[in-house]
Amino acid sequence: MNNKEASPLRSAVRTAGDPSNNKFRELTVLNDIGHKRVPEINQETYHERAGESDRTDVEVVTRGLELGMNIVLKGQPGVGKSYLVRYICAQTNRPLYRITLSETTFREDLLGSLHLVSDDSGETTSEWIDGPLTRAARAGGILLLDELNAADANTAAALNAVMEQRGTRSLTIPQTGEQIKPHEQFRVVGTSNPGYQGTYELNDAFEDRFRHVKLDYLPESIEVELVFDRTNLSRDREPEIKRLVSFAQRLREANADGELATPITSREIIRIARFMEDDFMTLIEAAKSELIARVDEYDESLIRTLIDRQLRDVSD
Amino acid sequence: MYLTEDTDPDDAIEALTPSRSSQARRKELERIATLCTPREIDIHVRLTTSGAACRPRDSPDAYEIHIPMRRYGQPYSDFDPAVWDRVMQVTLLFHELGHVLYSGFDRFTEYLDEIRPRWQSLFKDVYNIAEDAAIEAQMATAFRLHDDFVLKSASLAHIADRRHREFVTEFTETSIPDSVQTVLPVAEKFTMLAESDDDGSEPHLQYTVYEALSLALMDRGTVNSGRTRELQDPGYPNRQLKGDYRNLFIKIDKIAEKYMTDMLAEPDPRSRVDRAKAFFGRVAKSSRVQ
Repeated sequence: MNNKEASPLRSAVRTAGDPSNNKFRELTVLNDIGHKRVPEINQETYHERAGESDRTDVEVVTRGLELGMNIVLKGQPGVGKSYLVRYICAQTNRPLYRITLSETTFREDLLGSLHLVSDDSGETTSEWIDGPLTRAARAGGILLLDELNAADANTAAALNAVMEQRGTRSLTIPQTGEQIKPHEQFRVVGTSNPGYQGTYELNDAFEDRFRHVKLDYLPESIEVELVFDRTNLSRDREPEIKRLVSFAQRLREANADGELATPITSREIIRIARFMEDDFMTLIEAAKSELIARVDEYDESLIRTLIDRQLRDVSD
Repeated sequence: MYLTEDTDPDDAIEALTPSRSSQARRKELERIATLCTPREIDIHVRLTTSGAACRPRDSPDAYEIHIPMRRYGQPYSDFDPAVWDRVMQVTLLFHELGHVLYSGFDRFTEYLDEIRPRWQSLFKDVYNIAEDAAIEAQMATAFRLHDDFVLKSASLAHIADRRHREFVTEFTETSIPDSVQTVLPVAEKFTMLAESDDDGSEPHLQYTVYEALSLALMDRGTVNSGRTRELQDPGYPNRQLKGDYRNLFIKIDKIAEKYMTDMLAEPDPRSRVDRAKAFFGRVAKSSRVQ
């Protein structure tokens, strides 16, 4: 096998569309060029939530992105942090690149790596394949870093340079020596769960590079509507869904107070409702089926008791 | 303790199985209580040797609930003993939570202080029995607890009556009710089979007017044990009033019926205390206790 020297080839990355004259809330909409990384959201039903000011979460996030800021969305699991990013990308034609960080995420997982490639003649060459950070930087997309708390110091260091002010930021790929000036529209958005025990403490310098935005769970009335938006359940079942959502809200409070190891997410509520469709399961059966298997062992009999006493089927 | 043929089954069960007194159980009950009440309410659960209770603590919206560790017999069910222990403890917990959510402790205490000490226990009983029924009805609307409350009440009534009979048998004779009916609609009615002594005769149970009044109120709560009906029935000699007070009891019982109907229909806890106060006044007047 003949090995050639590593060639600093980069993956073909298509850049985002140019800025248009339109804005979605506070953020400039890019021209739609049919970019494959722009998310498609069939149901454009993100429910905007009021925050500390009169501005909604979407207004705050789009304002921050328009001003060139990187954003970290904080909130309990299932409040819709990632969905908000996908929604904004879909509305503004921005390519989205996503990676979930963990203690086993290395710098190379973000930047990219050299791969050995055999050509038709049998020769093997080294080819550079961009990672999500590099692709987002080249394309002018949004890099979504899920579980930002899990980023270790090495990962954070790889991100620091690209999160400087727009004029000074740069990205260097050590393996190829290439220095990339990130696209004007490139932004980083992270998500994190409060109380999550990350492997590494994020240092202040890294945290300081983000505009922090806190997301709460949807109000009960909107979450009830969300269930009917996302399922085929008849409106006759509304009393049951209201009770389920109210039950979930109380358990989320308990989770926030440290009384319960795991909260109930909106996704789980919708899955419970999906199993109630066509009378496949009763509310109590569907709730037990979804939640009992998932909760911490310490919470199991507690959750079972609460489901038995607090939820009511339509027949009750 | 020596077990013999005459050992009370409840005492035997209590002696032969470990008490549910673990810290894990206490914590679990406390977490249930916390998650079934609004976030601002602080509840501390204590396991006690016997008797369930709820009392406000010094700070606002703070309560202490006592849950008994003792084991109860199960005349109407056939749970595994450990499961039955938990069923009773959880049901008693929800009963006490009913007081947290729906009772008016302040109003009750205010009025109790106005009553002469001699009659305070009567007022406490008159109010507590009706309040227990009222909050169980409210809890059964808010939570899926109706069947649990019926089973708990029927079991406790059965145990109390059997003990009464055994106590009387030590000296005279005793009897137990022929049926238990639930006041609230349930699919399955509990039927308490009449038991008789070895010679086939039923012992005679005697009640003071005070005891009979308590029975009359309880029988109009979650479960009707049938004992009040038997007390009023001249053709049923095994349950009698002490002395010549049958007519007085029948008179009080009519007022008690209206009182319990009002208490079960009244959602406001302060108004229920006022209603109990009015009823107590009428009973006192009828029996000239004041």
